[in-house]
Amino acid sequence: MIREIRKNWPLYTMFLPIAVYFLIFAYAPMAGVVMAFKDFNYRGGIFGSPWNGFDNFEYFFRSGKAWLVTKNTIMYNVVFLGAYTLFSVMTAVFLSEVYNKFFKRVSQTFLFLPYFISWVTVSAFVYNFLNYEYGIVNVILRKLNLDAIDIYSSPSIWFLILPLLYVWKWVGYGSILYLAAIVGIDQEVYEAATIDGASRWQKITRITIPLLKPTMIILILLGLGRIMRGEFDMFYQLIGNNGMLMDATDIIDTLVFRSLVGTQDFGMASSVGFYQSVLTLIIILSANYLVRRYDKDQALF
Amino acid sequence: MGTNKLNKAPGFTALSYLIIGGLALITVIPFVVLISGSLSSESAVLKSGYWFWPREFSWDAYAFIFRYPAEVISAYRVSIIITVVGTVIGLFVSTMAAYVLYRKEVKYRNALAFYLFFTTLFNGGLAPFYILITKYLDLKNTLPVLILLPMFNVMYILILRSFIRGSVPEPLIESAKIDGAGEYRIFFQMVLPLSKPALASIGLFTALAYWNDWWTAMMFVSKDHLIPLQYMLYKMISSVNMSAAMAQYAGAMEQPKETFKLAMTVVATGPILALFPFVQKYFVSGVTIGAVKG
Amino acid sequence: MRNKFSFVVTMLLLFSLVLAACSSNNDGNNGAAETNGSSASPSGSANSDAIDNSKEVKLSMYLLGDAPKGMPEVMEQVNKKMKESINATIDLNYIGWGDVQSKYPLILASGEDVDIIFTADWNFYVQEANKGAFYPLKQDELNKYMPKQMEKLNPEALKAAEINGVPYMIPTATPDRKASVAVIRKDLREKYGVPAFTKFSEIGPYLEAIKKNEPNMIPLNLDNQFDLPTPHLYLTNEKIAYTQPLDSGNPMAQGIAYDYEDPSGKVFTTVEEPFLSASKYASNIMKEWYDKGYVNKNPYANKTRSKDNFCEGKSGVAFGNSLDVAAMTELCASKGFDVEIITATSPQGHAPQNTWLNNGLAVAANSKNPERALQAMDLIMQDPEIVYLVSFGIEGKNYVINADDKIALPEGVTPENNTFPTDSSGFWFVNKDLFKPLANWPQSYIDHINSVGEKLKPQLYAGFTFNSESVKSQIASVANVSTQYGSPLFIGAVKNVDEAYVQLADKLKAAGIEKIKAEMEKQTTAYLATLK
Repeated sequence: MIREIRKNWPLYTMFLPIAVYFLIFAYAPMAGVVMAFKDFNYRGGIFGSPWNGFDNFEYFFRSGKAWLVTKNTIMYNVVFLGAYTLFSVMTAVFLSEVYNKFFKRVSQTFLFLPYFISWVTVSAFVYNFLNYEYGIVNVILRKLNLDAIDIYSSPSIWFLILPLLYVWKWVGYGSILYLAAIVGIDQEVYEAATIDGASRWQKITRITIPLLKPTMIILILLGLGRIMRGEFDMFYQLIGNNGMLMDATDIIDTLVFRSLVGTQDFGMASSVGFYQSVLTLIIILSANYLVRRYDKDQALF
Repeated sequence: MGTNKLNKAPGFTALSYLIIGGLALITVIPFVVLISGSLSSESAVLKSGYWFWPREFSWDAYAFIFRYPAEVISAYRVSIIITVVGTVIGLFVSTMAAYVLYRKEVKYRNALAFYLFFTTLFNGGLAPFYILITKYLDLKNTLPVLILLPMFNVMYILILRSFIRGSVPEPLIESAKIDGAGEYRIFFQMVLPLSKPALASIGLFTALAYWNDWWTAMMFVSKDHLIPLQYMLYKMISSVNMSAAMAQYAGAMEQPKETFKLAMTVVATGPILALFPFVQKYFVSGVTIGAVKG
Repeated sequence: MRNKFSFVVTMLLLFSLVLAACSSNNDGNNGAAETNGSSASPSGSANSDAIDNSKEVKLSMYLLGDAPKGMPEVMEQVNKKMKESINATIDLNYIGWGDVQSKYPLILASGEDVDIIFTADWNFYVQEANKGAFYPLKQDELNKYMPKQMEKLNPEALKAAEINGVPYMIPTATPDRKASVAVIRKDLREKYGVPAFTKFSEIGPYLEAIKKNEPNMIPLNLDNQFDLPTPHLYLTNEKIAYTQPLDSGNPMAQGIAYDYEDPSGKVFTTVEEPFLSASKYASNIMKEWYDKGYVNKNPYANKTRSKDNFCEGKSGVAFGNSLDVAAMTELCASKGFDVEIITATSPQGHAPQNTWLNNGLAVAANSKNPERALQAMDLIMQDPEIVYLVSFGIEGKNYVINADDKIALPEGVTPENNTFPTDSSGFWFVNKDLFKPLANWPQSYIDHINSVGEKLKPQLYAGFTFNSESVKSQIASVANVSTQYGSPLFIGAVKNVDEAYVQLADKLKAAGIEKIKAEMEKQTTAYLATLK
């Protein structure tokens, strides 16, 4: 190990600042994970407080919904991740095919705007558009002599609305990364293809998409690293306490929030976080293992 | 994509414009509604909801935000300082780390990547973190806390690594080494220029993370002169909400509440959008490795 | 590879454990040093009964909310007075409304520089006291350092603050006099010939008239936080005297209830008799109203409280309490229509009095100067000059006392540009009996606020505080189940009321509500024994 460091010392010094940073800001406070198994009080602090085994996990697994919300969390995140990747790649590819500089810049800026609109505001808009009494959609339906739809009591519609909103909010963000990857492709590759008489479409399918694959893989892997968490704000603001939609839209974070909103308990708050972390670790290690088998260079680690 | 232009395919080009134009429309319309809502009177929004143009035009929400202009200017200043300083340092250090993780010579590169990635999975919760920052590092109510905490994002480092792998081929580094270039020189003269599009996009994200960060300020800052813009707005909206909910003595003042939320988004978004042209510059034309090699 | 990883991980965990272990050791040492120091210091003075304020101290105080713009000027005057009387000054900090849930416990947990902090039963008083966040108060210390407050404070209030026999909080001497209310449009009621009524359950014809004649108005336009359980609660309350669950205090949650008109103090769950039939009665009425379209179909996504758009003519009824509808009635009056205020009452016509712990102050466990903190609290809560400063601001600049002996704004000052809006500074625990009325309240509101006191009935359990420590995971589960299965029953959005209650009861049973009830019975029995 020492020999290795001596050999590549300039490279290791380049990594040093970040190593120190994460040691201090991430690893030092990480000892707090033990709180998930403790009955925390201020007198004892993190280490002096008594252990209480799995008591802090009880409320979550007793809810009878632990499996449902775990499933929902994974399902939504997989759908989100898939739709997000698809639309981001598509947008980036078409954006790179747009040559009018003004059009390109303006539309790219527009695509980014939803990023700035918080979910609270989105939810106010959505309510304004979809609510039963004076939502714009229902006002139009009534004018056409059609029956108004009670969207907020129809769970199935939300399987569609939520991913759409998610893509709408994040597509500008995601496409930037893929666009950067496309721009980063060596132009000589395209020039060679042109000389060989490749069409535009062929260049996209044969050059651009394959060369985007490493970026896609890394972004999907990183997305899997958040698979147990999910967009809490989105669910919380759009669905809130709507009991009618809950079986379809309840994720781990919303269940925890709902259960603990009246209690200030560090132990109970961190117990489910620990559960999520362990599951994520398992998922990410498996995914990473699969990617390594396919191509060592494209794995996360 | 200079050379791509060479073979014309009008149908394809039209399709691209259509798709991009359509998407841009879908994303810009809600923002138009947002702006016109922010320019409406509070009672019009409560009465008839949001619309594509302002009903009962009014500056009330903006007047409310800029009631004490000195505060807003100070908040903008803090936000700009932390965004600029933090992004420059954060991006530079992240890129260096990403480059190290990419180099095959580094035997422990995967262990190091895992060292970083692990922190995104497990954390000790808020309490130990809070105690660390306030008691041991004594960073409460300082500018550095606002700059340090959002500085690095493990995902961005790993994305940068993958970008560098895509745009800086290994043989290039080998030949530079044979020419006698040191590691730092290779990094500054070859890796940085070749990674410009990646740096532009990750730099943009880092800047946005700084700009939108109210959480750090909420946790660790209480002195007025250190409050960044987003936290100032966040504080305003929560106190407007609460005073409407509790006050017996508030008086019949019509506080813009719904419109305030919208105006807040406009005020916070405006300046950071100015960053876009700088970033987009790097997306217009592609990179040619030969140019750097020579 | 995997081995190397686990090595790295173990190393890092060890490292962080060591760091944290050091930190907890330090805590211990600091604590010991402090107690030594404080016990040593008074020995210097000859007379141990005299208050020794010779050393100047700075007290750090935390309140909820935000400092009004004019606060620094006010604090300057307050500190001048503080310095003269007790040789101390106050460094005032605020925990913003959006941050309370996360920041409040952290400030206490980190043992940061904090001496005086706001506390209330609705703001985690019991939980924080259980975790050892507050300084335990002793009667002789209170008598010595807080004579004025002790004179005004009902002894019952301090008793209510006891957790395992020790009080940790000084409650306000003047708890709010307020009841839950529904506000309706008097002009519309008269216009459509609906006779006047005084009970909420008689509101049906008014709702029908609004639905029929005012197409742009939703009779019950409920929001997802406050309004959602409210009409159901009012209706239930007319059958059985009830306010909110005794265990969690969360009006959205099911839990343990008792009849505040019943002197025996028997407790029961919200899904067993006698409560169940009252609750079903309310749900049946709500279902009728919901099906007729009197209630908005999607209150879950609505974030605008009925009270906020009532004066705009969007809601037929506004819900709130005696205090928070004040500004709204002013606004409606300024728009040219008068309102009627209906108080939610029990079958006997009463409304429950507020608990003692609704507002108060505590000394932090880590305070280095608890004696001085107590003295400062005494001044803040009872000294008329300071009370007026922190509640109304600077006389002549933020308020004036007009010829009718009411509080008004100075010439040229409007609510919008007042740098210190009345009562906006978070000092809710001062002696409000010292306040004069405000000049611009409409008559209908003054009538209500003057008469509400007669309806208030002291609650048997006003002095009781449930210690939820041993059943906290059951309470969390119940909160979760309540939202999903209970909230549709609040608005009547169910196909069959009876079946929905059977389902709710099953889910609550599985969540462990019986265990909460058993714990509640244990604690209430012990409490009732102390009253005898």
